[in-house]
Amino acid sequence: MLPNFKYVRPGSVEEAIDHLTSEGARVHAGGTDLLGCLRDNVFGALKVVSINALDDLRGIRQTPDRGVRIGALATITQVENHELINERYKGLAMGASEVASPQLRNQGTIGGNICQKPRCWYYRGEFHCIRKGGNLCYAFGGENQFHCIFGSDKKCCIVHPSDIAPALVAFDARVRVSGHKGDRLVPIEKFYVLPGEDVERETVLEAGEIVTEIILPPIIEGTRSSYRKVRARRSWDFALAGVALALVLKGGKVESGRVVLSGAAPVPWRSHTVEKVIIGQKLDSKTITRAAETAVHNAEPLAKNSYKIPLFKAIIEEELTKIAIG
Amino acid sequence: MKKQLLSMNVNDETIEVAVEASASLLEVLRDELGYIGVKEGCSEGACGACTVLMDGRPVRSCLTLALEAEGSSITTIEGLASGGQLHPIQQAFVDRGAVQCGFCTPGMILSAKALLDHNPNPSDEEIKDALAGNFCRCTGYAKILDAVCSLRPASSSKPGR
Amino acid sequence: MNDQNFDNKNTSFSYLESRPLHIGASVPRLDAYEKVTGKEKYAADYYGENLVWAGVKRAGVPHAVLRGIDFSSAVKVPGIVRVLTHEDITGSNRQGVIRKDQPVLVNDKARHCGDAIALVLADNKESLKEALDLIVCDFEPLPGVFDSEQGLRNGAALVHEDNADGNRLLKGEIKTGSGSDAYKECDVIVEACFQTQSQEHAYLETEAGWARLLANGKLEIVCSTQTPFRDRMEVAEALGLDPTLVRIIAPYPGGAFGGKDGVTVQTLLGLAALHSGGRPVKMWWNREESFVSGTKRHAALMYYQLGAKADGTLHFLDVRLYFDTGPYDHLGGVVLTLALEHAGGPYRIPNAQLTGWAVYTNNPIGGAFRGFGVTQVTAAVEQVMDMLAQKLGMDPVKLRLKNATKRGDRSCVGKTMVCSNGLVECLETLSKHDLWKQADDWKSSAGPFKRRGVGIAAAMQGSGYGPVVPDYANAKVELTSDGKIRVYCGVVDMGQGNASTNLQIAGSILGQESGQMELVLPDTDRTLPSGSASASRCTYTFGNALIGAAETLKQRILQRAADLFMASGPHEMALIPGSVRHLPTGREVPLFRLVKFFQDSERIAVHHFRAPVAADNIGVSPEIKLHGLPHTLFSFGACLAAVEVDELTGAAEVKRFLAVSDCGKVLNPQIYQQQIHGGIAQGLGYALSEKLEVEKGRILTTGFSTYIIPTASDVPEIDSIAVEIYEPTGPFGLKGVGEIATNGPLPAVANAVADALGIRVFESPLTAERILEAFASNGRQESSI
Repeated sequence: MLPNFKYVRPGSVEEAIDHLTSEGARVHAGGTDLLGCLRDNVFGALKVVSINALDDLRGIRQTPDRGVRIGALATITQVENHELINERYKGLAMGASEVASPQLRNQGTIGGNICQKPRCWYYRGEFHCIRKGGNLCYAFGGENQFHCIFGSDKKCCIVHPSDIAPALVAFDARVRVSGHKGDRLVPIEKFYVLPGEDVERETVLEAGEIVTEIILPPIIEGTRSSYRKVRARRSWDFALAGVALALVLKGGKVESGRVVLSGAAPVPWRSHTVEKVIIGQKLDSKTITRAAETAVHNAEPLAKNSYKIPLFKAIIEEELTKIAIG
Repeated sequence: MKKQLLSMNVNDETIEVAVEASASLLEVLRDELGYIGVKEGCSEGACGACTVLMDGRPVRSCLTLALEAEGSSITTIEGLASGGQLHPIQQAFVDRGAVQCGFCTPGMILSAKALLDHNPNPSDEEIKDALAGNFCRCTGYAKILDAVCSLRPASSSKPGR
Repeated sequence: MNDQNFDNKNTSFSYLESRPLHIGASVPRLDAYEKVTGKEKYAADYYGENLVWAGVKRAGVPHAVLRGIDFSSAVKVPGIVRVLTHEDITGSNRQGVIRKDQPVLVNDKARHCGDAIALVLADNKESLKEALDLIVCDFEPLPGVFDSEQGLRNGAALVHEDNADGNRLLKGEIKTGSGSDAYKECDVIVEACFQTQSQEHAYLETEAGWARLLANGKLEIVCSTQTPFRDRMEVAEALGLDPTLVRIIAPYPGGAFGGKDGVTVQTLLGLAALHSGGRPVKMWWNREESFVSGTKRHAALMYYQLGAKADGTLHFLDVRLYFDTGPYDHLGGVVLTLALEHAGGPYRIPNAQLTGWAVYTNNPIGGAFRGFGVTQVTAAVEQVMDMLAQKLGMDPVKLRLKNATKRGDRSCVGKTMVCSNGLVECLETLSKHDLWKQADDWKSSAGPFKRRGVGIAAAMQGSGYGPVVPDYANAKVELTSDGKIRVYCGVVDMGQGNASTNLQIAGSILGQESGQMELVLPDTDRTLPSGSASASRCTYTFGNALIGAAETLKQRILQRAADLFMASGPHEMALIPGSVRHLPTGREVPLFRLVKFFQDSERIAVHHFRAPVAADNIGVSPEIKLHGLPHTLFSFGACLAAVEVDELTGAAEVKRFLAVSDCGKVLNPQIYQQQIHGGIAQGLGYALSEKLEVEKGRILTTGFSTYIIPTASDVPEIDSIAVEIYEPTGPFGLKGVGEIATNGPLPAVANAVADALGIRVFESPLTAERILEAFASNGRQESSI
């Protein structure tokens, strides 16, 4: 049972943006997260703006510079199965394959996935928490076994729920945001907002702005990538912990690359400390162990989630080892 | 609020119905149109009981706004059997004992249909993956997997249950 | 649908090719046809013209005095028919099975978050939701009780001020032999404390129903229930009605597992229908409401001491059980009593001191759940058995075999086991299975960062109601006026297949194929009282009654046909599909013709069966006896879990599972396997992932995204073997198979994890986090288990 609202299905991006600037308007792509949030009273909607008639936002194709452009309305299934993505951006395809269940991957879009709302049970439940405009994060003193170990800024300890965003950060993707003032391309790392900056929002999207596409830069020769997710159930379960890797290996050494954690922080959490340890080094067992150790050095576990420390150490070690082997 | 007109095809029948903008496809199919074979289990997209096929793809009707179905073809469980004959997947579910309380069955069968239509000879893992979004609390899944496996061309390779 | 007539709602089978019905054959379930086509009408599927939607305002607070309810804004919402509170109830406003302590609508205070405060009737779902949100409860918060041990302490807040025993719902004490004194005579003693969690039934069809008040004053309630006949009495008493004016109609529930053993929507729907102006009323809880308001498997805290002689002979058991029953009795006292009876597992233990408390708290309601208290204690006793085997340096199968009860032995409560007992056969079958014989090879071939372990568990499960509450069934079979055989099922089929089995039984006795059979589902006006669908009793109790009724009808048909053919007697006649044949001449009379020679009253045969009860006087209190101790009929099982633990993540994965069970003779192997598979899957969810997070009485996991039940990808390959020992009192030698399989998975998995890691995790579920924490804190050293 959803609260009632007005439904529009505009025929152009401009029209959609117009609708979205009105009070209480919400964008609808796959609808899977939106309808859940409305049903749980996480937020309300006076108007739902379906962007599904915007065929320009569909499709996955190569860009002239040999990068890849993914339309915001590409479904998770399409991302998961796309040949180019599997060939060059394996970690992204792996992330997509870990999302929810096959039915939801058919419905859900990549644009919606990277904009989805947190799954914290206080936030989704009947608690007026700080993220919903209250003045308390209930998880700090409550059941926080699935909450973050980095980046809470002592304000809110959600984890970002996406399995796709960490891979996009690892590949240094950019997000095209369209709004009244035109388009802007935001590096996905800058797309997310930490609680310390603004506890009531997860992304930099302003009212009336939507994600229209995601641009992956051309792949650098020697890139190896992966996504590893640990969870309690094999289907329809969010990450307890995860790691996305995109590393460029040359001559046996890590030349460049990124290491991004999921299930760790309110945003996809780029582990600069791990990157610092491995870049310029050979991925031998000593380096890998040191990388895994440093990954959790500055972690701030809560009362019930300290198990995440050994967990992150273990999966970083495991995934780096796999990458090293090839 | 004013209702809006929705036109879609359900089980090969063209249907026009006035719906609330906020109505889910599930609510319209069940409450308005009487397709009681579309079950509601959780309304959060987790359990899969409300699965229907939309243009051949399995979707959660609880997380689909009815108006999003405009112009599409919907298949519910009621659309599978014809002329007093069960669909082969339905027959396999009966014969292999894949049905207990039966509340997950319509969604489960439709997910299986979407899989087999798209991939007639799926591996054991592919079958499990395709059905993992449909919860069953009665069977432990063994006989459901057995039923779907039996529909592969070389039905000899069961998942060993 | 308002002119819905339930008086001739019979199921025959439209898609069905007629199939022979033989006992022992895997006849496909006859209910499956309507279910695979989406035609089966569950309680949730009733709508109708001029429908009223009913919904409940819940407390949302765990413990608070209700000072007032302000629904002045709610009634102004367009489309609202009525808002009802406790003041609109003229009956006792109390429901429950043993102790009637649960209000239909709260009149004094809220005792858990799911308590019903007000009932709203509306023209549509939108108005209903709006009005519910506008109702304001004036609560004065009270300190709560959220832990069963705490609840028993002096000074704890009281859940029921009028209960003479404080927060103690029931205390049970059983002493056999020299009780705790036998401690001194043991060579080896192991000791442990186990904590098991609340478990959600998670049936796919949440609580649902439909009701209407007829012009003649009859209240018809169609609902998803396991207990139509008991519901009728509860509804009548709570609402102050004459029970004969209440009719409960019970379609197939979309799963139940104990969670629909007792009233859920029934009384609320009845109340709504009394105030809807004759319009039909529908109520269907959403998933969140089902989590918050429905019953759960009792969370349990269990202290165990088990002692043995040096040769492994069990000698002494001391157990203290604390069961969190939530705010209402529901069936909490009975659950505790079954736990006490099964606390020592299926073993001979001559000296035992067993004490248990069912404790009122402000947590969600504890109630019936497949296994019914046995699941919790089996988890404990089967783990201490492994700990003992380890300490004795004994093979765990051998330790169990050495102490296994055989027919004629006494259980740990001193009850003589008189029923068939295949425990030894189960354990021997398990020990000869490759999964056990080759366990060492399998374990040593674990990949990098993986550790493997193999664990076993044995179990028994009492069936039926115990010595006091009458456990009976009344079967009714009819030769219809068009020559079909119609079986009136008095016991609900919540998915376990007993309705189909009933047709198989009657069809096999009466020589008919499925095409000649019809079925009437439980309906207090049409079928006969036959007790609840629970306690592994359905086919045992009803099946025995049905055999009697079918045999009576058979004799009547054969005699009438013999008379028609002027045969020397019924021995010359045989029932064949659709007809009766005179064997010497080969002449036949179709049943639809023969039935013309029957008076209407002759076409129906009924038979009453009452289950045998234990004659033992084992010296327990009358109260404990009333709550069901001891049982006389038991099913048995042994199981094995092969588990691989990921050292890095802590995740335990069950790779293979073996279940060997003795539930007597198998009437339908396909249905039998369904019960075993399903019980194991629920047991594995309980063992590994199903964790109800409750914070000060408030459930945080109110949906399937946070409460993790197994999917097709999570359940391992299962081998299921039936050891078919004939049970003389059972129909065709059968015993109940509904519950036994749920009990083994948790201890088998816990034993396997201990085997793999050398660490025991004493709290369930064994999530990756818990295993990882245990492993990280004392992992790499070999600890003793």
